Amino acid sequence: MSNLLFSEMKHCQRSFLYDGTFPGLLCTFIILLQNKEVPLEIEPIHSYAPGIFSQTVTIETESKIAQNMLKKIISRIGRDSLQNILYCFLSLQPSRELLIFSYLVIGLQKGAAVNQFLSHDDVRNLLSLKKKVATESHRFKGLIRFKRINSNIFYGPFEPLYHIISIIAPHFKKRLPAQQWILHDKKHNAALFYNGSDLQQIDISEKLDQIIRDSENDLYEKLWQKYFSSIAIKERANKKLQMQFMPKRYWKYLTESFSLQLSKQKV
Amino acid sequence: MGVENKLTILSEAAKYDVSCSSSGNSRKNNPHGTGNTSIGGICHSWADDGRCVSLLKVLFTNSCIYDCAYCANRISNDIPRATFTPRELADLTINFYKRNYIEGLFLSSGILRSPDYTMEQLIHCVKILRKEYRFNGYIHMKAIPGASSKLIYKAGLLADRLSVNIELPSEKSLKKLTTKKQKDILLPMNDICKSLEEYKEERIKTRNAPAFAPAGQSTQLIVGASPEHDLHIIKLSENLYNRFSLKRVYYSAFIPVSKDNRLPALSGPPLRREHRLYQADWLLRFYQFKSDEILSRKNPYLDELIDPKAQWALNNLHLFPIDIQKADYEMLLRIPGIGVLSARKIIKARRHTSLTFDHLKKLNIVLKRAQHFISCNGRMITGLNNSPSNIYQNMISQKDKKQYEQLTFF
Repeated sequence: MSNLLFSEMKHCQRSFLYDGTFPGLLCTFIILLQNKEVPLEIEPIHSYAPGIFSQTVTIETESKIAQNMLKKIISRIGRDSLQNILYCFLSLQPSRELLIFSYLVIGLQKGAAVNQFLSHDDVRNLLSLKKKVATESHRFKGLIRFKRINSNIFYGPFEPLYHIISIIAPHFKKRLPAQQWILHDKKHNAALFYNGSDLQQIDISEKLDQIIRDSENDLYEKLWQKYFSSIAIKERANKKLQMQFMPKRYWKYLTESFSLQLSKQKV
Repeated sequence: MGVENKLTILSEAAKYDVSCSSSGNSRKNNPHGTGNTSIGGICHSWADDGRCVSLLKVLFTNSCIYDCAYCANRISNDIPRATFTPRELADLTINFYKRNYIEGLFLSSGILRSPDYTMEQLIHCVKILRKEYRFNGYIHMKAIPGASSKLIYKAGLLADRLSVNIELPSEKSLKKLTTKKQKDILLPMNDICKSLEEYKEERIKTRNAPAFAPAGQSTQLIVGASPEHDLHIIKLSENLYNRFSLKRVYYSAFIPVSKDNRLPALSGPPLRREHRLYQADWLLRFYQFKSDEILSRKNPYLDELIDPKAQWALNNLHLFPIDIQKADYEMLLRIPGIGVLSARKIIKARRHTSLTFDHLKKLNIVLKRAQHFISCNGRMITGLNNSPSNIYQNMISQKDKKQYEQLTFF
C-alpha cells in the first residue's frame, strides 16, 4: 500500500478489530479516515490472535455511523463503487479489508474515476475480486435447483465459494414471488426463507432437515434427468468444455448430476 | 404415449437447432406472475457437448409433411414420432421453471398438416403459458416457413424471440435438398422485421404499445452440407444483419443424419470451419469489419490454422505498429490479442497514466499475439522477429502447432 496518495496519512502499526460485518467495517473506515491513519491490519475480532507487540483498537458497530459512511461512498464515488466494495467484502478473502480501504481512499480523491485507474494494483485487484464474486453469483442464479418439499415450499441448497446469498435472493424474489422457497447456503451456514411476501433469515432446524431428507423425488426431477441426457449431440462430445463451465464442485446439488456421473464413467 | 417418452423423443429431435440464448430482453414480472428474463441470459447447465442449457428446447411434434434431405425428422425417415398437447407442454415448462431448471421455452416443430395449423398449435401452447399461468419467463418461438403473416404477428406478441431457419445458404442448395424455396423463408423474416420496426415507432408514441418480439429475431445456417464457400456465407450473414436487423446468425456444423448421395460424405462434422465462421461473425458484429475485408474472391476460405482477425492483420502489416496511447477505439479493435473488453480497459487506463508493456500484461492483454502489432512510448518490444512467417507461427494455437510443423516440413 505504499503510494503517493497515502503521503498525507500516518502509517501507525495498529491492528483494528471489527465485528466481521459490513457495517462494522464501515465504522472502522470512518475512524481511520478521521485519524488520517493507515493501519497495520484490519481483522474480524472473532478470528484474531494477537502477537506480543500488537497494539489493537476495537471498533464498536453503530448503524447510524455505518449509514453515514455508506452515504458518503455513494455521493463521492458512486453506487457502482459501493457495489464493488460490497462484493469484494463478500469474497471473504483474508486481508480484503485493507484492500478495500486502499480503494476507498483513492476513490475519495478521484471519485468514480477510480474504476478507470487500472494501472494501480489495489484498484485492479479489488475489481478482479468483485468480478469473481459477481461471476459466482451469476452462475448460481442458473445452477440452484429447487426441490419441492411440501405442498408449496421449494428448497434450494448450494455451496458457493463466496458469501453470495444476499446477492441472489432478490433475483429469486422478483422471479418467483408467488411461491414459498428456501435458499440454503450450506457452506456458510446461512438460510433465507421467502414466505410469499418477505425474506427472513432462518436456521435449518432438525425437523426441517428431516422433512427435506424424507421428501420423495418428484416427477419433474426425473423428467429433467431424462431431458438432460437426450440433448447432447454425440458427434460433438466435449467433456473438457463442459467441465470448464461446470467444474465438479457445482455438481453436488444438481438434479442432473446423476446423468453427469454416468456419462463421466463412459469416458 | 406418456409425457416422459414424448419428452425424450421431442427433445432429441430438437437438438440440431443450435440456438440456446435466453438473452436480449428484460421482461419484468408482476406480484402474481411467475418468471422474468435476464437481459444477458442465464445458463442453467452444460450438456455433454459443452453447449449451454438455458431453455427447454423441444419440438412440438417431430411428425413432418416435408422430406428435407439434411433433417433427421424427414417424413421418409423411419423413427418413432410423437406430439405434445399444448397443455402438456405448458405444464412441463412451468414446472421446470419453478424448480429453476430453465429460463424458459424454445419451441420449434415439424410441420403437422400445414404450416398454419402447426403455427396455431404453438401459439395455443404459448398462450396458456402467458395468459393462464402468467408466465413471464423467456419464450423463443420458431416462425414456420409458409405460415400466414397474421399468425406470425400473433406469435410475436407472445414470444421474446422469433426465428426462422435459412438452413442452406443459396436457392440452388435449397432446390437440391428440399422442396422449400428461399422466399418461403425470407417472407416471414421480412414480416418479422417489419413488425419490429413498426413496434419501435409505436413505442415512441405510446409506452404501452404491445411488445413485438423484444429480443428480436435470429436464424441458422448449416455449414458443410452444401458447397458454398466461406465468403458466400459471410456475405449472406452481413446482408441478413443489415436488411433484416437480425440479432444473431447461428452456424451449425453439418451432422450426417441419413445416407443420401445428395449430401457430402463427411468423416465428421466440420467443427473447425464452424468455429472460424463464428469468429468472422464476431468481427462483423463487434469489431466493425466488413465482409470484403475478411475475405475476397481470390481468397474465399477462412484460414484453418489462424483466426480471421490475425489473417486480416497479416494482410495489412503496413498499418502496424499501432501506438497504444493514441490509437482510437476502432483501431485498437484491429489488434490481434486485444478484444472488445481489453480495448475498453486500455482506453480507461490510459487516461490516468502512460501505458507500458508491463501495464498491458496486468490488464490481461494477450501480449504474445499483440506484441508484433503495437508500440508503447514510440517503441515496440525489442528483440522480436516481425517477419510475416514468424508472426503467422505465433498466431497458431499450441494444439495446432504440430500440424503446422508437419506441413512446413514438406
